[in-house]
Amino acid sequence: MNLFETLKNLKNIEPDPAFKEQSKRAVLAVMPAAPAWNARRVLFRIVETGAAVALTGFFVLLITGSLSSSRLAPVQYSAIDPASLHAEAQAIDMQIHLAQLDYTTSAAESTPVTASAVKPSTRKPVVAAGVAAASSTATSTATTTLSLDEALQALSN
Amino acid sequence: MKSLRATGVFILVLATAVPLAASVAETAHASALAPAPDACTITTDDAAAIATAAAQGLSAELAARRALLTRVIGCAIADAQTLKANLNAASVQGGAAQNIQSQLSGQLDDAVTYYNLELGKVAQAGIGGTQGIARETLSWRSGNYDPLAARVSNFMLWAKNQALFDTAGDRLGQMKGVVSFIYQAAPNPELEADIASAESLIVAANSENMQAEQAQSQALPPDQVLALIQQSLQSLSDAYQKFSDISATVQTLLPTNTATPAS
Repeated sequence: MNLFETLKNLKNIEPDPAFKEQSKRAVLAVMPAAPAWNARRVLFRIVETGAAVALTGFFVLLITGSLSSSRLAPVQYSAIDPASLHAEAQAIDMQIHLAQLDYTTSAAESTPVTASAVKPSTRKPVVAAGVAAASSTATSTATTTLSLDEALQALSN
Repeated sequence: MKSLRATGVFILVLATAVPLAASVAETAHASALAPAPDACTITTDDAAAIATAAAQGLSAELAARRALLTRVIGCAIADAQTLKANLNAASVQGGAAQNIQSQLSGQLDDAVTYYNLELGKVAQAGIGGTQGIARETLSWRSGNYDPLAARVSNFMLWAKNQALFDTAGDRLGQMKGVVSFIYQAAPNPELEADIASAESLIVAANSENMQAEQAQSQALPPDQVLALIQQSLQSLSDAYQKFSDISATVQTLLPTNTATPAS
């Protein structure tokens, strides 16, 4: 028998059926069994996932600066920056001035109009004294602007 | 063929003229509603023009009076509409503030309706009638419009203040953090007193700010509301004075200069 014939015969070699069965049983015996449902294991997994989510959220907040007002944030020394404090105080002062301006304006509006509020003369209703007064004012002095109330006052005479 | 061409030309003319006429009418209507800014600058010369017209006769005086009264009421309408636009542009948060805003806006609409009613009477009025309309409008403005305008002005001022209150609240929190940190290292009674004082001023300012909002909800007199707004702003200003004092103290305590000096 030459070498080639021997190799061809080796291709058909098979284990003993009894050995094959024994080996199969041995392999199946050491395979890990499917994990049984375990409450402790599930709880651990939940805690593990929760911790991961919480940590991720914390770092996201830290990066975006959302913790600036919390105790966890480092002390902000920019809070004592006089320039920004001054700017904020100035904005408040401006509003105070605006409030005073409003008060002054409303007080001025509540006072009676005197520029052209002249009593009607005996020429009424042909030419009202108020209009005549406005006319004489216009000719003798420079033109002045009338408020709506002053104009209505002139027209009512 | 000739009649077909004529029909085509007619349709072309019609297609051009109708939108043009509509546009002109729309422009005229808009200009009647909103007078030009110059039209609302009424001077003593305008009033004097009536006296000049009166010298030419009754019809000339009547025409001059009607023209000026129409102009004045038109300007009053424009004034109310501008005020309403400014009011509606104010950004406010919270149901109560939005209710005040919408109530005031509705009252400004009522004012425009009143002016339009008076305006409608002018064309048919005689000299005495125009005088009556002017007198009536003046009296109505004094009793209704002027207080309404003052309330709107107060509300807009109050609305603009809200951002300042928010900023002051944040500033207080930051200041407290700094003072607390320093206090842990070296207790400083002066800083503690200043931050406590600033906090109580901010609390007072917030309380007065809330009272101002409530006063507006209850439609209290404008002067009363304005006084509350001024008071809240003054408390806020005083709190910033305390912040400034704290800032100066902290800078003397810190080893390095962390902030730029005040300009």
